[in-house]
Amino acid sequence: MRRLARALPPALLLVAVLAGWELYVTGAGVSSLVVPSPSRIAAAIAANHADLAHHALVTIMEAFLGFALGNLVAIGCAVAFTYSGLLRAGAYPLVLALQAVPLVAIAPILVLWLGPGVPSKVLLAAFLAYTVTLVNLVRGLASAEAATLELLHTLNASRRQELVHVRFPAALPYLFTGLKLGASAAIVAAIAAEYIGALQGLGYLIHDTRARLDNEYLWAAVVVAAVIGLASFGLVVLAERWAMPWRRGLEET
Amino acid sequence: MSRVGRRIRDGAGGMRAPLAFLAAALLLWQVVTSTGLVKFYVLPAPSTVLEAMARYGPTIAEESLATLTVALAGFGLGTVAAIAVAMTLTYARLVRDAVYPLLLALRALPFIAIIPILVVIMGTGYEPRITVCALSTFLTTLVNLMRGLRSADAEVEELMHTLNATGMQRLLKVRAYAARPYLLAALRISASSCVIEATVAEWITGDSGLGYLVQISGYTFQIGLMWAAIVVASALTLGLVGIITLVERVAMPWVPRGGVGAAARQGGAA
Amino acid sequence: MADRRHREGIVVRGLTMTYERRGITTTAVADCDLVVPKGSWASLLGPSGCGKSTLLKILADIVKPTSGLVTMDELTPAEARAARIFALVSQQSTMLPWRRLAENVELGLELAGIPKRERRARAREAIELVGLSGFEKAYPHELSGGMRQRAAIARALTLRPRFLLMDEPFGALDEITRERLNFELIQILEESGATLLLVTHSVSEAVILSDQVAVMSPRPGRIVHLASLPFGHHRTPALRDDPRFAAAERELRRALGNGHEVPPVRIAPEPEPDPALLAG
Repeated sequence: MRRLARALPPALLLVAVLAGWELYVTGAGVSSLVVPSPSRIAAAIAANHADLAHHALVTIMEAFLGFALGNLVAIGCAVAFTYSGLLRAGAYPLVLALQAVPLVAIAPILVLWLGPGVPSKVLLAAFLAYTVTLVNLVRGLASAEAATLELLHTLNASRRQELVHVRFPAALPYLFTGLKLGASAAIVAAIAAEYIGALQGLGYLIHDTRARLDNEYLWAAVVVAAVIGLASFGLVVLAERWAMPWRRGLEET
Repeated sequence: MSRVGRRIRDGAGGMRAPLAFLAAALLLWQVVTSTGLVKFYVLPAPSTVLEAMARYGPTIAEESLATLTVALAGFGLGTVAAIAVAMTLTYARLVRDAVYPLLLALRALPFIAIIPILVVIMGTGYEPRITVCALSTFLTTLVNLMRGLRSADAEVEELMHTLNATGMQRLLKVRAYAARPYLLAALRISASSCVIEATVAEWITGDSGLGYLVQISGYTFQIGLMWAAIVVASALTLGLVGIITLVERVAMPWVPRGGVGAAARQGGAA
Repeated sequence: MADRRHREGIVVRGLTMTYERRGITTTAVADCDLVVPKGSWASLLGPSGCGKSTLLKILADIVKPTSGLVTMDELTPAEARAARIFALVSQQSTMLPWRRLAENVELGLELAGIPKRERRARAREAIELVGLSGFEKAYPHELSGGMRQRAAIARALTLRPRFLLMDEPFGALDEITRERLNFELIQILEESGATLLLVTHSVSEAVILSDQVAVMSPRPGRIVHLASLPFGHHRTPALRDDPRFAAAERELRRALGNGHEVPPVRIAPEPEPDPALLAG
């Protein structure tokens, strides 16, 4: 009941914005070539749903593969950084710097290397997911309380036990911060790399429909991209709630 | 003055090991490429990239300026708008209840997907590029600020209550400070995402900027120049982020070494 | 005359505080009566969860009572807060982390709109009084717990409060620091002439710092015993050797438990309310 009351004002506002948009565009006679009305965008989605679904699935697959790959490598590296002082001192600041580098800008290099197919997109998504997860996870693994680590030491725990019982649980909130950022970044990476060179995917479709001046279809593709972005973020938030039931209600986002 | 100087200098001390690491990597890169085992278009030698930088210096500088203009304009507009809206939303409850959830959702959007739409509406000039940068900065900064303005400890709020503080005093003496780490974290994220968005937008507008330079040098197979443009774009980002990190040190002298809480680092990606 | 004097100082009459959470009603404070005459020192002594902090928070206008009357010099808590006649010192020694020590001590005066010169002078005086001279420029995170607690006391003193409300102010400190601060506080109180209401779970602290001690029982929080102490206001650490000190401690321990157990040392999670104790 309370949830419904909280969802009502934003829902009403959203409906009002869409209605205002529809009325303004039809009333003022704005050309569909500039800004199409919501109803025409919806119609374009309906008319092209099979095509849209195909391209969307390609982008989702690229983003997901990259996300998974990047995170797996990041988790391995984070553990290595936690236990090797040499690696941490030498390589970690570079990873921090790498996080600041506009990695998306290397998309042209990747497309040049790997061609216009799926692998270049997967690799870029993996790069982006890798850096955010690694940085957050290293911080998280270091956040375990010294007193708890000392306790484990006196109990003669192995490194693996220390990792499983203390460091990973302490790192979970940090990991999910990284995963949330990574999920959005992976979608961005896939679309950006598709802009540079691709034969399918939403980025390709957006680029192509703009070139063909098919504005309604362009908006339809952008709406689908937006929904995928939101859904991927939402999925990670759901996973976070499931993985850390004790933190439910602490943060609203 | 000397205090500020010390805080800035302290930050540079830890960079010796990574710089050595970087130098080693560059050396290895040069050696590998000079053996001829790797094709130049796969991985040009560092010397080739440097050569291109020297040769096309003026072009690179010009396009850098275009990218920097876009990124900074978007960054500035987005930040100012975010601060104004955050203040309003903090005091207007009804508006906040309606608007804030939608803004939260918008933050998760892939902003680069809307660039083509902006180009259709605004043309291929600076406007669509600045708009996308401003939009992402605005949402990231707003969400962090809203969180920051409410982040003061309950005990601090209680103290201000027993000391009979007015609403304005609470805003100026507590919330403005409590929000500062959150604001600066958002600015750091936005600075780098602005350069990314500017670059991607330049691929699409194809008019000017480093992104445009990367694209045409790729098409014309000038691999050295392409890498040079990417390296410069990275350097720009690092420079902007570096400036914000310095501002962070100077603006928050009360934060102990080791830095700001990780919670304040949350924000939108690219 | 006597009646008039009783309305000055702190007056608590029929105070009751109940919380309701998820349909379960908890009584934190039940029908409390207490009078702290102007200029005297009183303690609320009891185990954790007996509602003594709630009582103090009601006085400080942080919590509104369910029913009953509370006044300080005939003012309600809200009026007293607006008139700035009391200062609260809490266990956390809350500091604004972005302010240096001197700026934290000045905070109350700043909020009251006192001109800069005067608040500088008054803060310096208070900082000297609590023995923190030389640390004016330190940030809170650079101070020890004891130093932060002194700073919180200094902040309270700058306001020259008629009433000093202290909620386990030394509860987070070690025994040695705590006892030293107890006697320092006595000197400060003697000089300022403020009325003190102290919440504590330490029997010896209550004896050292009070003219009267109200012993509270847990859930529902009730005053089950009122002890008057004869030590006057000029107290030194030699007080501990006074045979009446040990006698007072014994009396309070008996009122708290069954006369042999010392509540703060008990390891059981929460002491159960003892029906026999509630009966008196």
